[in-house]
This record gives sequence, C-alpha cells and structure tokens, in this order.
Amino acid sequence: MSRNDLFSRDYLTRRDFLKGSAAAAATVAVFGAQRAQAEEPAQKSPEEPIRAGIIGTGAQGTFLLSNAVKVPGVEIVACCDVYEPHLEKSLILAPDAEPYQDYRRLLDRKDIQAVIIATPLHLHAQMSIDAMDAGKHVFCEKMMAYSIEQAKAMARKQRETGKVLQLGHQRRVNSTYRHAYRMLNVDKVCGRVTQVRAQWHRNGSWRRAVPDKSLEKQLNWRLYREYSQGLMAELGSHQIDAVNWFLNALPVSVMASGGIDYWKDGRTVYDNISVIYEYPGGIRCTYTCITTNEHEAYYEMYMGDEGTLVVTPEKGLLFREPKAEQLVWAPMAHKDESKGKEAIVLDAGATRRAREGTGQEEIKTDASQDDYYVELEEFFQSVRTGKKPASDPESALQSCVTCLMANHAAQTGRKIQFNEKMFQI
Amino acid sequence: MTEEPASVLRFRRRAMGCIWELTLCPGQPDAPALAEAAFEQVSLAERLLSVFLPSSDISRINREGQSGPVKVSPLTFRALAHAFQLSELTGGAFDIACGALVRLWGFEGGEGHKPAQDEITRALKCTGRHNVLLDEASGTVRLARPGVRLNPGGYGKGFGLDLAMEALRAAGVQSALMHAGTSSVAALGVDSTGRPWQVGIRIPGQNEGRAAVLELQDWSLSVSGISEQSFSDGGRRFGHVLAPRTGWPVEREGWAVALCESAAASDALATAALVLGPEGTERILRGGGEARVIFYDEKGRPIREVGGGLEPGGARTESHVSE
Repeated sequence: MSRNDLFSRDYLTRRDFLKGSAAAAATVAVFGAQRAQAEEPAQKSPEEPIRAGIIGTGAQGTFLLSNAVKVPGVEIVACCDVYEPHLEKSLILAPDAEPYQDYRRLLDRKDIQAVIIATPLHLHAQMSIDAMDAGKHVFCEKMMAYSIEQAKAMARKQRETGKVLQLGHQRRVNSTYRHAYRMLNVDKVCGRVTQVRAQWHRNGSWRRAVPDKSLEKQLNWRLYREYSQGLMAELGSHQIDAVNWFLNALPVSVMASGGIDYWKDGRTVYDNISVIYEYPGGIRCTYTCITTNEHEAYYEMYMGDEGTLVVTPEKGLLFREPKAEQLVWAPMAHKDESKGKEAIVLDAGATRRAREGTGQEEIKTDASQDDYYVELEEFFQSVRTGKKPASDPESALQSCVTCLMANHAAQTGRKIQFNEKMFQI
Repeated sequence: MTEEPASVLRFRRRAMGCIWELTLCPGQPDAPALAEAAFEQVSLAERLLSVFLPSSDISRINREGQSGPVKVSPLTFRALAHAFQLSELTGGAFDIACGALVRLWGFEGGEGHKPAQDEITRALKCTGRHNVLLDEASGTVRLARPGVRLNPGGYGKGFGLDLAMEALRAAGVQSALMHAGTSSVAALGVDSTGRPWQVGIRIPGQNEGRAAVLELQDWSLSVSGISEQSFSDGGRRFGHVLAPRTGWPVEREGWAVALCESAAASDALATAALVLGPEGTERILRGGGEARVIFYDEKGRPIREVGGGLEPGGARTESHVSE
C-alpha cells in the first residue's frame, strides 16, 4: 500500500486494501500478537457456524447485514439483490459471500441454513415461503406481508415446516421497551390505561435518490401502491405492534383518514395518515404518521389515571398524575424535566437501582447493543435452540392486520370492525 | 466557511456533536433524497465509530476488547486498518489508540483538565496502535492490555465525509460540497459556475474575515488548531490535540490545513501536522504524491506549505484575503 493510496478514498472499496493493512498491523503488533496467542486462543463458537444468506441488500438490508456479520458463530455466505450497485456494496460488508441476482439460486444452496429477507413488501411472502420450503429459517423485515392473506400463508408455512420465522419488529427486543412493558403491566405505574397516543412524524419526501428514471419504481418502491402499503406498513407497523403488545389486546375497530397532500410527485401511497383505534374496555389509540413536520418525531404514549408513560427506543419517561400516590422507589429514581414537568427516566440503570429494596424482580436492560444486532442475535439463537422469537408470526400477523385495516378504513372512509377471524392463522 | 452562489441547495443535519452541511448545485434532481442518502452514511459512520454511543463498534472494543476479540463490521475494520496505516505513516503523531490520554486530559466529552505526570506516564503505556490487534481472517479487534481505548477523534468525521461522498458519487451526483462542523470539508466535482469549489479558511479565534480561500475539486480539506477547544492552567493554554508520544497537548499556535482526496486521511493528516510541525510533516510527506499541508500562524498568515511533491493536485492556495 503506497502512501498515495492512503490519501485516496480507495480504502473504502479496494478488495486488497485489508491484505496490506493486516500485514502492516501484524508487524507492528508482533508483541501483542504473540501475547494473545500465548495467553488464550481466539474465541470460538461452541458449535458449528450457522451459514446464512441475505436477500435484498438495499438501505435496510445493509443495516441488517452490517450487524449480522458481527454475530458470533454466523457466516454470511451469500448476498442477493437484483440491483447490481446494492449487491456490490453488500460484498464490501461480507467479502467472502457469493453474489446472486436470483434469490432462488441462493435458496438452492444446501449449505445455507438461514436467510435474512429485506426486500420490498410485496415480495416478503413469496420469498419467505420459498425459503421455508427450501428448508431455511427466515428472518424477514417488517411489515410481515403486503396483504392479510399473504401474511397468513407465511404463518401457516412456518407451522407446517417448523422453521423459525422471525419478523423485524425490533421494539420487541429493545431493552427500554421491555422495561416499560413491565412497568405498565406488572407495576401498573400508570394505573388504569385509558388512552394511547402515538406518532411518527418526519419532515422529508421519503424518496430515495435514483441514478436513472427507469429505476424509480425499483428504488422508490415504498411510494407506490403496487409494492407498498405506505407509511402504516413501513413506519406505523413498528409502533402499532408495540401498542398491541403493551395493551395485551387487539383493536375492535378503526377509523382513519389519509391523503397525498404535500408531496405531489407521482407517488400513490399517502404522505400523511391519522388513525383512531378502539381497543377493548374503551381504550382509544390515536396514531398519526406525517412527512411534513418532525416536531417530537416518534413515540408511543400510554395515558392512565395515575400516570403517563412515553416510550421511544432511546428513552422512556414516566410522568405521575398529581393525584397519584408517590411510588415507593420514585424519590431515588433518575429525574428529568420535560415541558416543565418532572419525569422519572426509564434509562434502565438508574430506575433499576431505584427499584432495589422493593422486593420486585429486577428487569435486565442493556443499551450497549444496537436493536438490529439484538434482533439478529436472537434470530440466530432461535435457529440453534428452536426457541420462539419475540417477534413471532402470530404477533406479526396481528400487527399486519391492525395496520392494513387502518389503510382500508382511510381508503373507504368507513369505520372498520375487526373480528377474530381476521387475526386467525 | 464556503462561498458559492446564493441559490445553491443546502441541507443540514446534526451528527457527531456538530452540524453537517451538504451543498448541492441548483437544479440537482432528487436533491432531498440525495441529502438523505448522504446523511444516512454519516449516521452509519457515527453508529460504527462514536465513543458516545454504547452500541458502536468502537465502544464495544473499548469495553470488551481486553477480554477477547470483538467482531466488528467490515466497514469499521477498514476504517481501523486505514487509521492505523496513517498512524504508521505519521510515526504515531496521529493515533486513534490514544483514548486513555484523551480521557485522562478530560477531552472525551469534557472541558479538559491537567493531570499529574505519573498519570500521564501510566496512560502512555496504554497508548499506541501496537496495543491493538486486528485479525483480518475473523474480522475481529482485540486490545493487548487493560486500559487501552480507541478514540477516533481526528478521523471519524472525515470517515463520515468519505462515506457520504462515495454514496453521492454512486448515485450519479457530479457536484457537491459537504462539511462536518467546518473542520473538514469534501468536494465532489466543481460548483455550479464550473469553477472548483471555493473554501475559505477562517482566522483562528476570530469570527470575521478569512485567512485564505482554497479551491477544491474532488478533494478534501481538514483544519486542525488548538484554539477551538482548549483550557488554561497555570498561565499555560492546553489544546485538545494531544501528542500521542509525549502524552501532552500540542502547544503550537496557529493552524494546520491538510489537503488530499480522502477526508478521513486529511483529518488525520491535519492532526499529525499540528503535532509534527512543518519540518516533521515535510519528512512524512516527502515523495508522498499530492497530499499537502499548509501551516498558518495564529494571526492567519500562511507560514509554510509542505508536501504535494508532484504536480499540484485538486487543491492549491488561491489567494490571500485580508479582513
């Protein structure tokens, strides 16, 4: 490696760059390397590595891939994308992987045990079903499928084959969410929950750059109805999945209104939508997803007669109602000021410490890992052990139905009543 | 920091503790989406390298690297390999394995304070890239002794710029300028008038006026100086740039401006130049192609220019501008 190369951007893409660097590192680190060998061998997975492939290596696939390659005991041996620049990029992240443009050729490989699917929504079902038929375990990005029937077919295929089918609702593995769930449902810190408010507000077109107009629908598939279910599927399903989970319930009805009112750029999915769900017991959940203002970005807020819990993947806040009794551990908890009101912060460590001595079970939380990493680690663990993942086909089907019916309500202008059959596999 | 016609398209985002700004030419199709794609790369760089995010690869290495190899993203591995080669080139004047010193001097998110010499001596033992073992076959990183910490200051922002520029180039963009907190800037192509992008270097410690205007075309520039972040103790002023071999902050007044294609490399080179001074920098750049460094004194006057041994590259000193 010449010094000229060091000053160029080649280090990002050149395949032979690491050869030189590793050799250079070895000469400088001779002392350390010898020590390392003498003291302990490099960590090895106790079992044979799981060989996995990824189908779809666009923006979301890249996030997943960059985390999948870090999971110990996993080898990414195949990458597949129909769009060559995305495929090339994936090979930088997984340099030993075999490239494919036809996912069926990847599924033909007998040595691959598991696949990660991060393709446009309308392809999830077919690819997942083909993969399970080919004997592969499947991690598929959320939302589960383009239609309710497709989602049910995926769930049925999972039951038939016994393979792991995990969906990418990563709030289910997020430590703050798990902690907040316990506080809401076990400790009942909000008392009786009566209302939920949730939102994902962005200020941007939601478009991806396309180098050539002919690639518009391929790269901006999220904007077109034939491939996408829009904001409810791509953003809302994360949060609606969490609301179903936190309330331990499924909605009984939904009303909604949406439109293409700002980004008149040829898209055919809504650029904003407002939804009202009714849950059993008169709990109402209002949800909005917009693309023209990012104030307060995203959160789910659970309102009860004793308190309010605001949850995001990064932070949870608890506001107690003035009339509520003080919690035993509250004086010791980490506090925060939000809009002039004192809140108890659910940042794990502090709240956990505060809970000591109350005789309640400690809730383990860990903010040191990316949620993408944690969900993939859980997936590969499920592949090894057969344990059911937190985001399983049953709950993912429920959130898929919940979101698709909001779209249906907005499109028809009708209030939709849910029934048990809709959620049944 | 930049000069261009008023009608250019600008996009801003906060990342890595500073404001990033992307400038695209008027009429650039899909500009907001391109900006999104570029900022996504910046965010990726932050998620991989930030010492302030517990889930970043660097934080994981710092936390777990002493007890065993830590598997990292191949992009992180590339960044580390690149940064360590730059350490070698600069004889350790730039070294990201200096986190123990950075923390000791209170510069890891703090305002800085002077430690005792014996603390510095101890931290020096945990400093230097020889304490970091990269294993290419397994894609893992390991720390050779307890107390070693990585701190990619002087590299991470440049790395984010490199990733963003690659993304823009891959999307077919021919003209863009992006800066990270005004300390590093990367240019793609020329500006909307067909001239190289004009980048003004501000006089240290002053908000008005510029020391020079440099031209950039497919090239990057980074500025390093101690006046932006420093503290005083016993009548001495200590800046945040530490010399990894002595363990003490650089006390050189003035600024070093480094220019080369990769923003990560210019970032590292500017830091190394401040540590090494003009003579030392000239030595490491001798026969080193187009990379170059311009030194300015504390009043913003150019003192010396080193490197650029071949023909002048995409950047050259254009003109001196008075207040």
